[in-house]
Amino acid sequence: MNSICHTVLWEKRPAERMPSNTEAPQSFVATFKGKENETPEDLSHGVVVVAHPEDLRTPLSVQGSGYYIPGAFCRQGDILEAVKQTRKPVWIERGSFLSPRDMTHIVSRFEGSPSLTIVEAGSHMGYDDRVLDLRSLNLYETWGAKTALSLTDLVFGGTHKSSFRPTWEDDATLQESYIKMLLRISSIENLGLVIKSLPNPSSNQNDTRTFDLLINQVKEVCGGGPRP
Amino acid sequence: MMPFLTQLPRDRLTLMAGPCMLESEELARHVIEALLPICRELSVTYVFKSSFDKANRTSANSSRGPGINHGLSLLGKLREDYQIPVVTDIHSPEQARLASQVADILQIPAFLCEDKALLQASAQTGRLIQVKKGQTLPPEGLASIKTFLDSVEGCGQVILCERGTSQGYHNLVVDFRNLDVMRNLGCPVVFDATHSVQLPGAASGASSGKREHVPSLARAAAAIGIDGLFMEVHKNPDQAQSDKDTQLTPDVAIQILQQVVDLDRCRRKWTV
Repeated sequence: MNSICHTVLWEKRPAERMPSNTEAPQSFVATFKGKENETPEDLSHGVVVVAHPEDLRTPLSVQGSGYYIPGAFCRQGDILEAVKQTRKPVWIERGSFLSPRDMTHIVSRFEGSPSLTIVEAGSHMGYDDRVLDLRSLNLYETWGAKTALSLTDLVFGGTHKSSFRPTWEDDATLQESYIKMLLRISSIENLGLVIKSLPNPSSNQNDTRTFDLLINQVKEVCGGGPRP
Repeated sequence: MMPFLTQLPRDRLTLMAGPCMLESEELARHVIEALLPICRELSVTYVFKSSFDKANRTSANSSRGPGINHGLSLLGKLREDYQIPVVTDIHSPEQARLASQVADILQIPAFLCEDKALLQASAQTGRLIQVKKGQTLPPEGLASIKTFLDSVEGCGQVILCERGTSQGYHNLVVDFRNLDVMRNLGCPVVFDATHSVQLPGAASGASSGKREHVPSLARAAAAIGIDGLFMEVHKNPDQAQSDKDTQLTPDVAIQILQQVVDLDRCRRKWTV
């Protein structure tokens, strides 16, 4: 498996529960300097485009250096085909509604693509809750697929702002230790990392706190910092 | 196009039913001609449902339907011939604009229920919008969707539809509390009785389902209170090109509808 351990895909994420694809469809990739100064071979740095049905009216190839398919669109046939046609690196998030094994049908659509990374954003376990099913990592490895963890989704469930019930995520100490655990897993297993943020994180206090917490933990555990 | 519906009736039940995929004109006519007379007899508003594009099939090798041009043309023809409203699902802003030329109700698929661009484009058409609640969406997420749609100038009536919540891999359960949540948002409430019994992806490359649970779930929803019942109906479900384990024959669908109408009439008398 190629090492993409210290790559952070840094994605725009609009507020108010809406998905990550509603503004101008661009995201930013920040590459962290790894412990050995390694540079990921597939997504060094640049712009990764979040694929969206609206983009299908224009050729996708003129846009970014790679594509990120959000979980909500991971089964949309037209998006998968359009992104595949670009022949660029693809990060595809497993929808939390989909079983890891069902990703095989999606992975098979990208046969021959230069680089495909499955982003593990957790499995739905009741409202406003996601869990990392470690068996999924094992499964992806047997397929020879690269894998990344979406820290934002795994730690904060992606919907934390509107949660109507108290959750363990409210415990900051537990939260930080969980992030560290995920980062250790990512190091051991050579997994990529995804951190999502608002286009302007400072516009939302909750998201700023979330984003800063994740970035600081990544710096602490992986070392280095984001490239400008 | 002059819409047949500008509001979903709240004083009587609506049936949204038809083949999951718009496989052929013959199939569509068979289903309509089976269901329309009984709906008229029971004073139920009938809305024909079918999909021109199954855009999110589990397997790339599965059939997707007639496509947007032929599919919308056929839906428009059926609508005019039988003088019945039509609902169909859309997957992109462009599809919303095109489908609004023949459909009285645009349906937002559950997977895409938080896609702001799709919601906005649909709202701008002024058609009724039926939002299927996402399988992982918490009920309070519906309020954000409703608020967003209402903020779009010209948005038509918003209908909310329950179709089951993910519970583990390949499994859905119906959280009936969601029907109350939807009603409290001031929206007409529709219960999708056939997708609620799906077992997503459970058939090795396709979805399976437990069709035998449809009647009891439909009755339960009617007892709680719904404005519409949604069912996928096929002349020969075992031969259907999609969702073959959950579609119903017209005969079974009619039996369920009769029971639901009975319960609906009782329910409307209840004051608490």
